Amino acid sequence: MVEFRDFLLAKDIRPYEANRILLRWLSDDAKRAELYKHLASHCPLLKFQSRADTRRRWTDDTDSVFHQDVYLLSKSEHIVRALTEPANFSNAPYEALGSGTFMLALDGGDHQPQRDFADAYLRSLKPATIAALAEAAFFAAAVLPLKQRQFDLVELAEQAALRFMGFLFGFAQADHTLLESSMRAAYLGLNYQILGRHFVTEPGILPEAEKGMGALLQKAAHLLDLYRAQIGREQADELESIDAELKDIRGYRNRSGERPLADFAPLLRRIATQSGSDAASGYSGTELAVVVVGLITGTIGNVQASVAIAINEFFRDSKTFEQAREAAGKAWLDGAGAEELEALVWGALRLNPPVAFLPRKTISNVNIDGRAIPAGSTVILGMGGATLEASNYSTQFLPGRKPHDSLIFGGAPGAPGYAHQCIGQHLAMPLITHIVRQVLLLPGLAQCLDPLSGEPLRLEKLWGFNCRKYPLQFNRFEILRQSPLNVVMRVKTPVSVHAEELKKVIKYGAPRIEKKLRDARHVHFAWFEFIENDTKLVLHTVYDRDFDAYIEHFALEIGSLFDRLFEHIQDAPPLPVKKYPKEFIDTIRRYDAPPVGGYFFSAYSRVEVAMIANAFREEGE
Amino acid sequence: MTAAAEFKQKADVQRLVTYAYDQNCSRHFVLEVKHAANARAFLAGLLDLGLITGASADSADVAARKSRGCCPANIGFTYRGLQKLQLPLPYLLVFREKAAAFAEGAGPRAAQRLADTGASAAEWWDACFRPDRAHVLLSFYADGQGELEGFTLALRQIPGADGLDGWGAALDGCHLGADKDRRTVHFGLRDGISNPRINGFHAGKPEAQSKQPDPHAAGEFVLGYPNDKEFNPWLLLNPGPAPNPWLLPTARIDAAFFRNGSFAALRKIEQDEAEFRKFVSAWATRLGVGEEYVRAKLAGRWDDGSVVRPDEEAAPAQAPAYAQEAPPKQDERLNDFDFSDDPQGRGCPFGAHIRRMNPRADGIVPFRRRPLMRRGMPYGPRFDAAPEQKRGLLGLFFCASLEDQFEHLLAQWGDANPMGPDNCGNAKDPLIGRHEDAHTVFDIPLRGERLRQLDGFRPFTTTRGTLYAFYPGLSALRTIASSGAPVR
Repeated sequence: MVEFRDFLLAKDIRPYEANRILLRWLSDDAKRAELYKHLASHCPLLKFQSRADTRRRWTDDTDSVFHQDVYLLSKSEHIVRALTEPANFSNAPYEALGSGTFMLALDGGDHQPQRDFADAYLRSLKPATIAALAEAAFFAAAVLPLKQRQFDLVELAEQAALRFMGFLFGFAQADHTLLESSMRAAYLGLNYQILGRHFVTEPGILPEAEKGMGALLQKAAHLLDLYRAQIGREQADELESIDAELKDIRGYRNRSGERPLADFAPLLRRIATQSGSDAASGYSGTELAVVVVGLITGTIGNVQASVAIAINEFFRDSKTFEQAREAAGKAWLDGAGAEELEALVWGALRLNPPVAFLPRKTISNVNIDGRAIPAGSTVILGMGGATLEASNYSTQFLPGRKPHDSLIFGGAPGAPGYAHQCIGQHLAMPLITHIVRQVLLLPGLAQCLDPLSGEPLRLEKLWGFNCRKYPLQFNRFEILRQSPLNVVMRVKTPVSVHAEELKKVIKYGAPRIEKKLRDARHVHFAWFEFIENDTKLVLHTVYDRDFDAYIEHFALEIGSLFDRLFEHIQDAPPLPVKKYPKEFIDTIRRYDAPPVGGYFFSAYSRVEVAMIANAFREEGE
Repeated sequence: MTAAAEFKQKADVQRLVTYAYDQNCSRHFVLEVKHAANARAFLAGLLDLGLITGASADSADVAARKSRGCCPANIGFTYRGLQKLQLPLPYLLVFREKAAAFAEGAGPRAAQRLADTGASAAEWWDACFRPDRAHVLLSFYADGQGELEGFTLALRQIPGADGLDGWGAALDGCHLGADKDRRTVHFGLRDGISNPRINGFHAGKPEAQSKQPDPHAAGEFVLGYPNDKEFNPWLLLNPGPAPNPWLLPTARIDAAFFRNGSFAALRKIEQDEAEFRKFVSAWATRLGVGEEYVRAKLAGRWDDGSVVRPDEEAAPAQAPAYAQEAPPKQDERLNDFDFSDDPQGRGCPFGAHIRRMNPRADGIVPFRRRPLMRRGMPYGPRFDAAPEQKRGLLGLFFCASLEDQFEHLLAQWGDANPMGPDNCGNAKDPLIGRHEDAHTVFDIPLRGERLRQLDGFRPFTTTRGTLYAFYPGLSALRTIASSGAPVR
């Protein structure tokens, strides 16, 4: 194992090898923290050889230069300088992505008017509106994943952020797929452009990101036009359908029964109608759309990363986890008490800022700690170094937000004491806290364990900061007791003969089936259906609780019903079922056609057959 | 009633599966196989010396062993342990197919199947329960610490003991109190009142009119025999696809390997008695009742062990005829009841610990008894003696199906309400439940339509670890000892 010291002295290490070592260290949370600590005292300016191409864009006619020197800054005073000295540092590296990324992590400089314009709109949003949008967004995003006992937290957070931005700006629901694909490409593209490209070569990432953001730009511009004026029947219909969706959003009721979104107007609509025309806003339609795309791009990935990082951190030990769960419970109860939970989230983000790195380019020769960075060099800001510095590089978990934490998310524009201003933070934090709270409150929330090592599967990050996946599990049966089972069985050939036989079996067997199912007392519904010209027989059922926990009984008690059916089914298990329940269960499992997308609705999701029977005993039986 | 014929291969079954040792202390070693051949030599040594006790040994045999300095001992293996000991793959495949929980191990299943989340989550269990370390579970019983230490030394002298690691970290349990008829566990609950009886091992029903449940079929505990449902899952061995001759050494599977074996779960449960007492005392004050009343409603039994009867407000004056000996004395307060005279839960609430863990004649859906043989012992001192020390239960639970018995009890009956009984409360098992939501309620139905409801539950227990072990029959132990490569 190469030691930091040898590495920094480049002792016996070739540049390519050094590049690999650095990537390994930056990719590992613990190792990265150690590295920052070491850099702070020994080498505040780390120079390494990049593998990236110096051309900003494919179309540039400059020559490619590989092996450029790149500088990693990780001390807060240096990072603050890079963020706040527009004369020395630019955020030009973002330009490779096009479409509004000039809005990202920007302080001062040429684009201040655009920032101010966007800021005015974002700041006009009331906290109650943001909270309600966050609730509605999580509710929408959680529908599918929470039908299963295992879900991917990164995806859940991503979906909530997408829904939130969709509602906030006034995209149509059908635009969700576009938002999703463009933002996935953009998030990866951003992270590649910021850090990945210096270590790995994946030339497909940037064009994909540009393409995705271009498509979103196109959609945003179209909606801005549509909201201003509808030309022709088609556009009128489109607006009508968007209006119908907006009506649903406005009708959203929170837990107190209030409708905090009753007067809500999505931002695209407001920008379009309030400015009236391009000239009135001072921006062309494209420019407006660019600002919108920039805002969305700057939010989704950060929300997704923040949620995943926070929960991952809370699972560091049982005490922190219980503390977080308790804070989540309190926040849920009084509605306003989210500060404690928010403090915990800040504590987690200080150890691992969601935007772990930012890119800058030097405009002039810059002197850092007595060492020179030539003009035109790429500089990477290791934000985690700066946030760790405040706690003297201790990786201990300390809740609460400090002014120097502006390097996690910037402070609100104009707020004193923050080195970096972020126009989205008053939007993002409530959303992040809400998602974190809802996830923590899931019954039986737990990490998934690797069966071989017994180690929990933790948050997976690419290049140390692009959040990929974080599988979690919860007790789904506490919120949804029933499950569907759809056994699709292929009828033996000749189909005409065997289908007829099956119909007979079901006909004469019906009384027995009825009795068995009634006695089972945990099957809600069951019926048979022939599909595809009688070539397949489907048994549909809805039953209570866990397939695995009750299937043995099902096989031993109800399995015998299948003995006659299976005589006419292809690839039937060995019979009789009572003698081979295991094989029967395997067959049922294999032939089960799960619902599309895992979606399953129940009007009485927490009620079981036995409960219904108990409640209606006097009237019924 | 005629006694069922004695179980023919009793001598092959490990004694702990079917009978308890009437001793005061226990010691469990969770060992890691460091060197397979040596570990197998150690196992062979244990067998040669006759240290593994079979079910045909009676208490006189146990006493005779002890006079020679030998504690009665039994041994089980985790799936990873069997792998490490190089049990041929076809046998492992049979476990994979027929005992998925055992093959997977407790840790990865803990959240969903054992309700171990939060502070009880498997990733925070004690290190000895880690799947890459927990391979062999060696347990023995004695009347005092000295005997345990002496026997430990003797065990470590057996050739091959160095092939196993973990001798330094024993899990010791000890009954609270010396009076064998008055044993309690922490939280002040009476211990050792009821254990299932097995046909061929225990006497049948004492009397025809007894409400004590019928003895169980051997297959509920011992592999290779029909269970209560008259089904024998271990009769037909189907190890899945034929072993690939290119990859694997072929070995014929001998069904006898599994016969007379059993599965067990070792579960270390830490008990927070201070928190439990605080809860009980707060509710006693609030309801204007005695603390014993609250404890009894939560557990289902009064402090003296007698079941709470409908509309009873205090423990009966006459203590039940409590005794450890077998067959147990018939007493309708201890064991000869089935809740049929308490259909509304006005005595023992539906949510009470004993009614969940053993619903007896209650209309459970689907109706199926899910018996467990309990061989646990408390660890740590009584709360009053040393409140600040750790304490809890070293539970050891035997059954033939970890999924359908052990896991079903914890997840389906403890963490959720058992399906069927009309329990309108939504709290989890009040004593062992992982209470996450302090707003769930525990219903105490009273005469008429009246109801007392308790809430504010917090977890009173934390799981410190669970492992699943296979306890082979004695002849199968020989097979394990002789599998793999010869000792070098």
